[in-house]
Amino acid sequence: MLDWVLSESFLMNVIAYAIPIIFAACASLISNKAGISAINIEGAMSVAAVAGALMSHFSGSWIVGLAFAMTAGVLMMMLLALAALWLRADSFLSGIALNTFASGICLLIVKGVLNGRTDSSTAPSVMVPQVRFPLLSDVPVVGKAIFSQNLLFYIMLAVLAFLVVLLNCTKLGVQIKTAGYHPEASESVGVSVKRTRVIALVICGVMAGLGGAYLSMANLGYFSAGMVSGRGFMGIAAEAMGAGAPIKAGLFALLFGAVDYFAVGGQTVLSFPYELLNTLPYLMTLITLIIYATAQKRKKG
Amino acid sequence: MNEVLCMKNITKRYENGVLANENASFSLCKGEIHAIAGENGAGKSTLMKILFGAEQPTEGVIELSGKQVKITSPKVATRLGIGMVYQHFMLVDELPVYLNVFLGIEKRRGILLDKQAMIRETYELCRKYDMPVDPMAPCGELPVSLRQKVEILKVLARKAEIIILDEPTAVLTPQETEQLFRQLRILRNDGHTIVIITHKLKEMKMLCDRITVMRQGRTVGVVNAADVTEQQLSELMVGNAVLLKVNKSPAHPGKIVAEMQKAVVPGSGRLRLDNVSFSVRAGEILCLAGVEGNGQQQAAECMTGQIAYQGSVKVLGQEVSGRSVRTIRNLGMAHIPEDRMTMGTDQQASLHENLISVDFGSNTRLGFLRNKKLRLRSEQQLMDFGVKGQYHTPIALLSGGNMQKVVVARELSQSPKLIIADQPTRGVDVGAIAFIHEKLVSLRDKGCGIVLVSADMSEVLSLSDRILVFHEGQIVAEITDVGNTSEQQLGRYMLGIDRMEAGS
Amino acid sequence: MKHRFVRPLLNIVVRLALAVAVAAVVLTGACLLLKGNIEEVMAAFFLGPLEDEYAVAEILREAVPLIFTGIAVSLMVRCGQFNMFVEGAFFGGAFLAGVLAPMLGEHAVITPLLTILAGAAAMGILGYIPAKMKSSLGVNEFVSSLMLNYIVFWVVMYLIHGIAADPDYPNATPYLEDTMRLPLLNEDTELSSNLVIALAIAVCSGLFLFKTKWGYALRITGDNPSFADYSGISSDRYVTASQVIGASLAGMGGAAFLLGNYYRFQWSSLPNYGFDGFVITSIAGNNPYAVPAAALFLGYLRVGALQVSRLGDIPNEVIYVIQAIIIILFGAHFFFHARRKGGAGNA
Repeated sequence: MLDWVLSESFLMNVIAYAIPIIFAACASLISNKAGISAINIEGAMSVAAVAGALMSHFSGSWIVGLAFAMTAGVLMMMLLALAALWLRADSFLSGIALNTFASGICLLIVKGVLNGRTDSSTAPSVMVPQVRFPLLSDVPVVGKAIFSQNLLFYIMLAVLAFLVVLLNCTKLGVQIKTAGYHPEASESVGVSVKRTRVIALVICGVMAGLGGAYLSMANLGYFSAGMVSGRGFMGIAAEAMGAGAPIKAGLFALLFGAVDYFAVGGQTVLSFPYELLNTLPYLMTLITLIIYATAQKRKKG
Repeated sequence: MNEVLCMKNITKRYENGVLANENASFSLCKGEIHAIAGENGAGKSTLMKILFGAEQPTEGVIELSGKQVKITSPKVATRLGIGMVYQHFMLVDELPVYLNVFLGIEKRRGILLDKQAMIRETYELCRKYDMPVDPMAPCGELPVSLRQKVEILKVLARKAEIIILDEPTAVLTPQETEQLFRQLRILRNDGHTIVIITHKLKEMKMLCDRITVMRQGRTVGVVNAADVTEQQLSELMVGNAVLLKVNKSPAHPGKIVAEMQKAVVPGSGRLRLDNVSFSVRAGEILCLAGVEGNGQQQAAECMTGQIAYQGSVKVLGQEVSGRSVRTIRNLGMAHIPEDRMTMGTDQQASLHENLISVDFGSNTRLGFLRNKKLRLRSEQQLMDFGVKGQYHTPIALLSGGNMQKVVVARELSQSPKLIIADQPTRGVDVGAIAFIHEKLVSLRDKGCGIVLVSADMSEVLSLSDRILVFHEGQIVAEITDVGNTSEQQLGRYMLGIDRMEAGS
Repeated sequence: MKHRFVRPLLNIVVRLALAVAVAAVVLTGACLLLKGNIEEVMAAFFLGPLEDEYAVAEILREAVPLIFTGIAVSLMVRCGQFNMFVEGAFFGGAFLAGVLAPMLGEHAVITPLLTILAGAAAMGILGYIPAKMKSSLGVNEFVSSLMLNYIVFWVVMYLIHGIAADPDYPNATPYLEDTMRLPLLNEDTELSSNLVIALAIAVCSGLFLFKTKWGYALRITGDNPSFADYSGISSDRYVTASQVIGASLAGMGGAAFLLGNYYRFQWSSLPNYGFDGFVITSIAGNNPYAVPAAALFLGYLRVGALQVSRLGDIPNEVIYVIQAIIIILFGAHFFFHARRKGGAGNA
């Protein structure tokens, strides 16, 4: 088992499994900062996965697919904005509803377009390309994992950096934080909280869209129902444990990705029932939540 | 005199029919400090919110430097050079001072924030107006008086000519108040025009040039501060002669009903409560006075069982350290909480449901509430305490004063032996204040021990029989001769300038 | 007194009208997208569920699990808790019933009764995990309960692929004899008596919530936990209790559903009834008494969607879209809180 864990492919796969979770964590972070919880990240990723897979197939271009995936993510978040900001429904209930909505609409679209199929394997996506840095990718162990990856991996790194800069060094960042921490203060200086939250949700939607696109256009070559399977929620959990810090949230997401892959990859390597291995990521999330909360509580005294 | 602003015949009627302002008028001269005086609910805050664009008038016009203007939002007001310092600060605790000062008008270089420029300008503003604030400090870590300075800096950074301050001294000690006044005078001499909303007579006389008095939504007079006495002012404000004093006979303290010994409450940095011991007797009103955040609140919370502490608290002879609120209440403790909205009531429930929350458990059969009996009792309580509303009325529909009466009705109907009254009259109209004071005094006379926590100096001095002054988590003075104590002297203790020797 | 009955009634009527309108609009959209015949589809959707007694029985059958999870969710939401474990608990309860009833053997009434109680107890115990995490550690119950759902699901999958399976019938629990199951109300339509249990639970929950001291404390905690604590009601206790009760009602529902409508447990995915509970409770305005009506209504829509899917053009999943829009509209502030907003002024 140790050989397996220390192998180059293990690290490659861990990162591959972590990417969608990190995107989800980033999406969750930006919406939470603005003071609105977007638990429909899960559903938005799934709709984005459909949009990316189908549009890249029919257009023959991964760029078009990616654009549509992001648009789909944004649209799903705009539905949340419509429900929570304009209709003033509970953002939580709306999020649950929109997740249901997403699972329905995904199947409706796929079935509608592909004559009753629940996955799009007959209409394979055009994949987002791999990027390979010559020389650097030859560095042993980490070289391949870091310097020879899917383009979305580098986009993910850029997104993390973007978040750090956005939150700490821009006017929009100050507005987003104000909208989250003290919305009345924002209104009192004439900055509309609603507007700020909508912008935050747009960014959130783009990130969820990228996460969804990764699943159906880089990780797997097509959309299949249930392919998100809780990764959006794991991202939300990772963000909760990162306590609002993008890098910390990213690291927790990476950890979740590692366990996620361990469960899947372990099925062939380890002689252990795969059903129980599948509980690992969830069990780990649960245990991490407990440990983290206990530590927080102790720190507070 | 040079009139810069004029509000004419302002009427504000809310959708639910409440009339906040009726035909009110107001004018400002350049470079004056002008007070808007009036009791709670006189409409002074509404009038100023209209001036700042936070509310829209139903009728009336506003003229700025002779030109009619429509102030449709705070943003417009800011552009017109009007700034407002709210009573509830609009500061983001998590952001540093300089970002709060420049909130909404952040300086940028390209797309990034120009932090250096903002820090520099904040620093310069601080120096110019003699405000000792560190631009880099996170706002949440500043004491109240400095947070208020940040609010003023915020207004100044927006180049406001007219600055409105809503009850700025409510959270300050006399000494801090003086410091604020000094700074306001600097601002006036610098050419700013200042409006302060207040109901404190002394401050108007001390600071202001002119005073506009409001009553029941109307302006009832504009006077030069130098020309009127406090008595005349208060008559203007209330309409007829006011009772500035609480009617009560000397206390006859009996046996100890509650006792705190060596209580310690930890906090971030220094202790919130540092080895505090005191006791309260039956038939006395003991006041825990202090500037907000000096431990008096925590002392009260220890006695109600709401926070954890080391040391011992005995209620009616029983040790209650580590016991639940339920246990302490069962011993005969009643508690009027500081904040009726977040703690004292369930805003989504009816009056009845709010009235039974502390003793519903003892009015059941097989777990089912005895609703008929409880309902009759609630109706009786509403009548006894003069609450305008029926038992099924949602409490959210009540005014602040009536809501507080519901809280008081619930707590005082439990035949308590110990009452913890934390800011019992905050934000309540004069009539309700007198009513609540009267109730407390009558319970005292029936042998109830009362612990009062109050930030209102005149309430502290007029209602208490004995005062313990808290400073930095310790008791620094015990005042037994309340009648002969001045606000100034009390303020010196509260600030920790003076200190009585322990054991007195 | 008038306003206490007239207004809620009016409220319900408006809600239902709105829901029907939403369904019609979504179906029209789906017809345009998927080239369905609008007239046929509408007829199938709205009239299909009422065409004969079998269809009506189908509505009632659909409603039973929804009543259970709707009640479970409404009790938790009343206490301010958004716990998703209702999903896992329903699943777990059903599985447990499938395993336990054959073990208890053929004892009419006793076997199903004990099985249902066991399902309730076991899921209540599991529900204690996220509940306690919330009340003692402040861990968001939403995330933790979701994780627990997945864990329960995979553990059940493990058991059903192995030791819990019928040796002669792969990936399913042993056959349930009639005596192990809940009796039928009607032999012809095969309507099970679990409907009666569901209705009884709805009434009991309503009584509990509105008439007992525990229900009162639970509601107060949900409205304002600091007011509860201040009043001497331990909010932590009710935060925990509401989630445990919710989980155990869901477990009970799962067991009763299985023993009424199935001969074996052989589900291979989470049935989504837990999430449906949120739909139900939002239609019912978090009122247990109104839950059965809401469940019947949703059951009607579902049977309608099923009828539509039989026409061939529009898949059954259209119901998810309709449901989601209904939940959002019903949760909308102007609708849900209109009563309170009325006179509250500018507060």
